[in-house]
Amino acid sequence: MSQKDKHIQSAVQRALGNEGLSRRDFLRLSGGGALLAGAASSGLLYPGAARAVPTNARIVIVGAGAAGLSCATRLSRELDGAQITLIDRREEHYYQPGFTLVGTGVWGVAKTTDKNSRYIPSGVSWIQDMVAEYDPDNNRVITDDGRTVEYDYLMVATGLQINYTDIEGMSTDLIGQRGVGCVYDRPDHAQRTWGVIDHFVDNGGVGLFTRPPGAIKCAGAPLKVTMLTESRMKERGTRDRAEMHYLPPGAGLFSQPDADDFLSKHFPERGIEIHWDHPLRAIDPDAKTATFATPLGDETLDYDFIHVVPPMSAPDSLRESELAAQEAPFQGWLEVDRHTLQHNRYPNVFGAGDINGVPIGKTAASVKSQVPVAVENMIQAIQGRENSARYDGYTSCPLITELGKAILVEFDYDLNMKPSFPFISPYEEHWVPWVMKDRLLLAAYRAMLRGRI
Amino acid sequence: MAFSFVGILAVVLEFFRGWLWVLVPLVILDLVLLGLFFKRTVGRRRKFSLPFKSSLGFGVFTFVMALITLPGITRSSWEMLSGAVDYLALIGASVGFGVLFAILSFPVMLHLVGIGAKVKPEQQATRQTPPPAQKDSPTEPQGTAEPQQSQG
Ligand SMILES: Cc1cc2nc3c(=O)[nH]c(=O)nc-3n(C[C@H](O)[C@H](O)[C@H](O)COP(=O)(O)OP(=O)(O)OC[C@H]3O[C@@H](n4cnc5c(N)ncnc54)[C@H](O)[C@@H]3O)c2cc1C
Repeated sequence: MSQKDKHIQSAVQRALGNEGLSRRDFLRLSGGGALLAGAASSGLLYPGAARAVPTNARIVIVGAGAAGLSCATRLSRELDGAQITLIDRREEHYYQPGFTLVGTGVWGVAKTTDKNSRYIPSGVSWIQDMVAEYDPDNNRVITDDGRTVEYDYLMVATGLQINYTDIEGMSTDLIGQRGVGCVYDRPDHAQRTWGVIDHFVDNGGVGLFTRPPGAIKCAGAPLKVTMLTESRMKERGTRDRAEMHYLPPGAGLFSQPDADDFLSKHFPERGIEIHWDHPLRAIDPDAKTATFATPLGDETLDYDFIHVVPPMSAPDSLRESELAAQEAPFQGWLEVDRHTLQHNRYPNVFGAGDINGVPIGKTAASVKSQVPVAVENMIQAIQGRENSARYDGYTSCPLITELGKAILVEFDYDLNMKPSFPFISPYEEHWVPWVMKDRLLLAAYRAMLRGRI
Repeated sequence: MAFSFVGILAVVLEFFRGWLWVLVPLVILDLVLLGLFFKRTVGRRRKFSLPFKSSLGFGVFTFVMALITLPGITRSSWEMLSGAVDYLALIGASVGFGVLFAILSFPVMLHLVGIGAKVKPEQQATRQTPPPAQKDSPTEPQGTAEPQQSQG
């Protein structure tokens, strides 16, 4: 301990003495002696991170996806003595932003599959099971196997659930067959989707590209699949063999107005017809027809290829729990304050990633911005301090318009553009964002899992 | 989303993590070659100028090749490039490759063109205690057996 640290420690002890508290009382009450740790902050490698805060808090993280692993790494680095438990049955780790590239034949599937164990820090216990029930009144979760895990602090990072059965006639077995594609959820879905897209690119016909109503992860993905498929056709010289239709559920293509404007003009310029207000209701894979619930009634269209994007929601176990928001607009999602990411009713519960009931931002880029906030605020709660970190809604989408170029769209809750690199225009197609998406973002994602960014 | 310097470094390191299986053996090979070079040139003249120029040439060649081929290698094309940011990024990346290849090829060049003739015993002695007159000559290495080659 340096001379400076010793001074601070004795000052703290004197202050505690004045309040009638022993040093031990203080450490216990604060859950950590943050002042001592903060005083000796190293902060060299991880700016903003104080030296580990001592605590014996029991922390449970549900979900070992992008957000769960990043939280585990940061919490285990920033806390000393905490019992951190990660719950997730899945052993593989999926790099989901790569699925659009796998589904359009740009990447091989292997690039998107990794192992969770490579990123779980030592000292963090991993329960390979799923949480079946949340009991926040008793500070515990119950897993599928009936195991009860108690916590002092809970980080919910379960991502979301894809509701295939909400589309009549749809099942995951269909993906890759009879012209049905869906790049969501799993690498093998994306791989099988490339099989049918490849066939469509060669043979042409009618291509329908859908998007469901409500919040979905990476709202840019359905658009990217459409544009990359079209780009593939141009590349192979088969564009004139296909009729392409994009069918959004409402009257917009993208939540950020400038990007929406661009796409609304760009799609027709490329011969992709937009059918507003066309949420997909059902498919008949034998007849190769799709039915859309339009405001004027059901409309059935024939297809040779259809990209089905099912509606998404919070996983059932969360949706049916006390932790879910009870009212619109985020009903069923984790009820957190949109800036602090702390639960509105259970202050020892925090959320990170797709599960959060916040206006925008179900992307890995949002995870990168949310995790430091959720972690910092949780640590401050452990210390009994007022939380101070704020999430501004940052999200990003490298909107691939063609093989070889993209627009880097980054924005916040106010839908204002927030470019990370001011020299890259968010209004124009460039090669640089394409290279970022194709070559660099996987490295950035892994650095995020390791809590380096 | 601001990236700190450490953040960018972390991403770069993570990017190269996938290439370590190529880079590490290459760097080790280079170090071994460098060590061998010094071993092989005991009692011989060491020439650095010509190897330096050769690897510089190799670097320039790599730079030009990268400039031409990088868009294609990234599954894009020259037609897709638009605006200063794309061209500057392409030039920057090509310079990076050029420098990398120049550095990696330097030990090889040392072996190919950097080993001079044997130094005569009296010249070796001279090397240890150089006469003041020779010290003044900035370009002429001492104990040179083949002065005309010293410029590489
Ligand atoms: C096709 C596609 C393209 C995308 N493109 C981009 C892009 O270009 N840019 C971008 O930034 N983002 C993109 N994303 C979004 C990004 O991948 C997600 O936003 C990000 O992975 C969310 O992280 P998460 O941790 O919240 O959820 P996930 O990464 O999905 O992880 C959730 C984890 O929780 C576990 N889990 C679920 N329920 C339970 C339970 N009850 N108990 C225990 N564990 C549970 C799951 O097994 C899973 O491991 C894309 C996603 C897809 C599908």
